[in-house]
Amino acid sequence: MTAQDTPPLDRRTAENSQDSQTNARKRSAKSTTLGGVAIAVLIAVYAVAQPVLNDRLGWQLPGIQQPAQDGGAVVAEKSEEKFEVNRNASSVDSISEPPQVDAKPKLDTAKPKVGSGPLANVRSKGSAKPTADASLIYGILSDQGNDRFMSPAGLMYGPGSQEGHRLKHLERHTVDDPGRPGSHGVFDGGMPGALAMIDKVYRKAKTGVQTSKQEEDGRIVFTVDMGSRVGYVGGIDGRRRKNPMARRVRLVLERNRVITAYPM
Amino acid sequence: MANPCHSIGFCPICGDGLCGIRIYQTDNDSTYGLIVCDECDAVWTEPDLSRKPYFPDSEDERSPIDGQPIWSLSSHWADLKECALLGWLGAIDPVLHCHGKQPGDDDPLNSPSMNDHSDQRIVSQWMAPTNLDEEEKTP
Repeated sequence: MTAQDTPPLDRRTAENSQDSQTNARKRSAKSTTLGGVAIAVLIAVYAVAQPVLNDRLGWQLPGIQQPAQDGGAVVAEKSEEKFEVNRNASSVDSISEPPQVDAKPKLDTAKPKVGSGPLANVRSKGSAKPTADASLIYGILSDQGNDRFMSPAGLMYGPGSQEGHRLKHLERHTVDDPGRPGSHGVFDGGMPGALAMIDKVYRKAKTGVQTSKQEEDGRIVFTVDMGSRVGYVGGIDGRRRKNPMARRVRLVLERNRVITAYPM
Repeated sequence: MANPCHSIGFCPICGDGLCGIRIYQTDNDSTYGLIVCDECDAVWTEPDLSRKPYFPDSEDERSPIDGQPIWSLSSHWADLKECALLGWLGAIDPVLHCHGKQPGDDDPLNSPSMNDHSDQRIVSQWMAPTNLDEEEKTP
């Protein structure tokens, strides 16, 4: 090869730069494609795992309802809120109900007014779901009058207990009491979660599956294994065992009146 | 206070409930003691959980002794001095103490019952020992 066949330095340099730009564009396109595929795979995995995790661990991960571009941000935001409710449940100052409950008193304007009874502040607590019937207490209980409320499964919550009302007594089992001797069961999901779970427990108890039943002088004590997490064990014993997960629920009834219920 | 100050054991009916010592006064200044489960409201009139409990009406819990409301304003979880007055000190399970590490941490002089009439008549078959120094001899 002679000196005359050698292309000029400038043209060679330009050709080299063009080649490098082409290669860079190809690499960029390739990485973008790989990134998109990775995101799609992650979304698919989340869509499959979300119901399973909700069922087994009692989490309340939201379903994917938005396009992939902004679904991740929304899921992360809601997950952070729900995780905070569940993970802080072991502390005495924990949030006993999902944050959005306190922000929904306007939904209850149609409810009948009540005097200064033990449930004076219960009716101000809106339902957990904005689309639920506004007349339902905690989104699940129907008002029967005289401070009595009935669940969809037919359980009655009325006056009684040292707290003055069975709902107020049940509320103790939505937060931990780390100084209480023995075990103290805590339901996941605050009051709405507890009431929904108790209904599920009652329905399963009536079938007799994975259920033990003791009856004495009109008091019925069901112990039902729900097969998945319903809450955790608190109290002094629970704290010593690092607050283990609870899968069973003990339900004490007088006919269809709830006396107490707690995870164990 | 939600949790009993002093309990004699866990409830044999519901399992996790604390069978606390509850004391209340009647209109004629009589004082009664009951063992009450703070979860399922099972009631015993003496500190013996092997006996069959009494189950009050779930919406109107009343004492089986005189029909007084169990959760009335005149009733409360008994402190150490009141447990001694009832003669039930020996039945207390110190592991189930809800405030302080041991029953001895309670100051008998700091009892809400100090404001009660000093000549109150205790109507209970478990009369209080005349000398508190003999509390260890109480069954």
